[in-house]
Amino acid sequence: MNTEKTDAVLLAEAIQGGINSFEELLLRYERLYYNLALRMLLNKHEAEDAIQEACLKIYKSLRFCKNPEKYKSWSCSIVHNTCIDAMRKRKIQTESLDDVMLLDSGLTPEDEVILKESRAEVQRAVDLLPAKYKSVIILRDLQGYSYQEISETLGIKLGAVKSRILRARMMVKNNIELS
Amino acid sequence: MKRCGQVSNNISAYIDGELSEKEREKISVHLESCPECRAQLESTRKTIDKINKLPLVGLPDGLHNRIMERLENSAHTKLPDARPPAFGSSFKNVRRYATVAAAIFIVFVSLSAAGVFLDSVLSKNNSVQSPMAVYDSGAGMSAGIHSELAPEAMDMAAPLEEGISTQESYSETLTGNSDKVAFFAEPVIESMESEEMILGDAILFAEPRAAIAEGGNKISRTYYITIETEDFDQAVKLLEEMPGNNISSEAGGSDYNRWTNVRKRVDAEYYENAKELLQALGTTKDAGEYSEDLTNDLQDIEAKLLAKETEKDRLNGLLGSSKTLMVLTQVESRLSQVETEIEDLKGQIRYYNNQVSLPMLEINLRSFVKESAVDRVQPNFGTQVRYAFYRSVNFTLDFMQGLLLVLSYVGFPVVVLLVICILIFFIWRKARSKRRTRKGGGE
Repeated sequence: MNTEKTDAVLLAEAIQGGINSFEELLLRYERLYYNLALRMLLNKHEAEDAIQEACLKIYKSLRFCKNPEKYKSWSCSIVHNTCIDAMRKRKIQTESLDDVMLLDSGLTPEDEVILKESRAEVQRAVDLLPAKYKSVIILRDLQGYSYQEISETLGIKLGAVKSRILRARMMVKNNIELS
Repeated sequence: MKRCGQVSNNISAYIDGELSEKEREKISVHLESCPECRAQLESTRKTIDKINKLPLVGLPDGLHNRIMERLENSAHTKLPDARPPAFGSSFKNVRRYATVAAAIFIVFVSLSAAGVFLDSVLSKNNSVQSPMAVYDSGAGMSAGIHSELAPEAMDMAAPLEEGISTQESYSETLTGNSDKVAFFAEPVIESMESEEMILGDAILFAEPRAAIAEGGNKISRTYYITIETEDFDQAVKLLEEMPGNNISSEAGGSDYNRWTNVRKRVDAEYYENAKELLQALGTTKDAGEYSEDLTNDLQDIEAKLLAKETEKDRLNGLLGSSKTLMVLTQVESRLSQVETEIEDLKGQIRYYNNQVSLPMLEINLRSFVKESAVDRVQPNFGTQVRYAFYRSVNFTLDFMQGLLLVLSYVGFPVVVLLVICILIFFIWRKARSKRRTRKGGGE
């Protein structure tokens, strides 16, 4: 639809109109949030919990979104931080292979089939990355964020985004080659 | 022309189109001439392509509804207008501070409670002493050297004064309910005994009456006392009835706060009785005694008198044997001069003797306001808690001061060691987390 409302308009409506207006914003980005959380946490249940918590945080702090045009990166940063918190809480490092194995990630059989078909190797190579490299790869190569957007989402400098992406891609490449 | 290292550092950004026009051009130029960098570019592109082809997973069934449900339940379907979310995050800190504050509060309260308890125990042992006395006593202490001594200590010290014949000044200040005594002394003593008299911090001096008994010393005494009494009129009446000569008296004050100052000389034999009688008039707020040994002065005057009397006798002899009128008049005039001087000296002796045989009493009598009397004798619980609290604060401050002193003297190496330990701990933690990150990266 060409008459689709912008994020900023929806945000203003959500602040005024409450939960129903917010649903529209949520529908627009929840898949993105979920993918981000799933790839960060590598566990369906944890990803779902994190999403729910993050969405509540986003909703509660809608008024404090300073730049309505950048709602996407702002809300993604909340999801990302919630995932980091969840990772810290469980204290199990992502290097544990059991965690990394997709079969143990609690995905539905359909999802698994899709993932297997579409280069499970690459998937694993990305999953093996440390959190800070994984988030830049997810945002850049899966969500198509610009460097500026990543910098805003993760709250890091543009130079750091640049070097992290470079290192992350090299790691992925190495991981694929190793497997 | 860029170097390969610089190019490979920028290869990702080059592919993503995140480089400035100038840099982009430089890299393009380099890539044309460098097959290695071109290979790297290609492999990176392939990797990105592979990642790009990873599918986006669909939202699990019902997740959207669960999110909405949770929003409705938790947010109460209203946006938090009045309450910023920062409150939630800062609540942890608030709770932490509240815990610390509560802990400090509990410490103070328990110290106060302990103070109240101790007070009640102490006041059972010594029912006259009120908690206020501790705070009032400070005013009474004017002495440079002071000591807390029971009255018995003074009696114990008494035998030490044998043979003191030099001039001495002695003062005692009684404060509160006579359980705190301050001594002030100006030692002008040459005898050996003086050194033995230094007991603890206090320098004790002979009680004057002992000196009189021992060496027949002439000592003038002045006793001053401040009394508070409930029955002011009765006390004034008793004061008037007391035998002795009133030197001066004045009175004043309002109905509720009356006072009178009386100076009186009493017979030396009656002096001790008079002191007891005055103390019985009411509550002694302040009392003390000045004394001055006048023996030397008197001996001086007596020696002068003797000399003058010898001169008088000689002059009388001359008068009898004088031949010329001129000598006669001269002797006559000298004689009358000497007689005047003798009278003068005798007057002085009489004055000194009076001072010795008629000690002075300086009485300051004050009426006693009943309300404050009640407060003084039995302060209410609030006051007790307040003073106990003050004491606990003082105690804590003293404790901190002590701790700081100990740390600064003994504990400096300990503190340094502690700081080093903390630093090492942090460095170790950082190193550990770095190691884990690396492991996580699978490098």
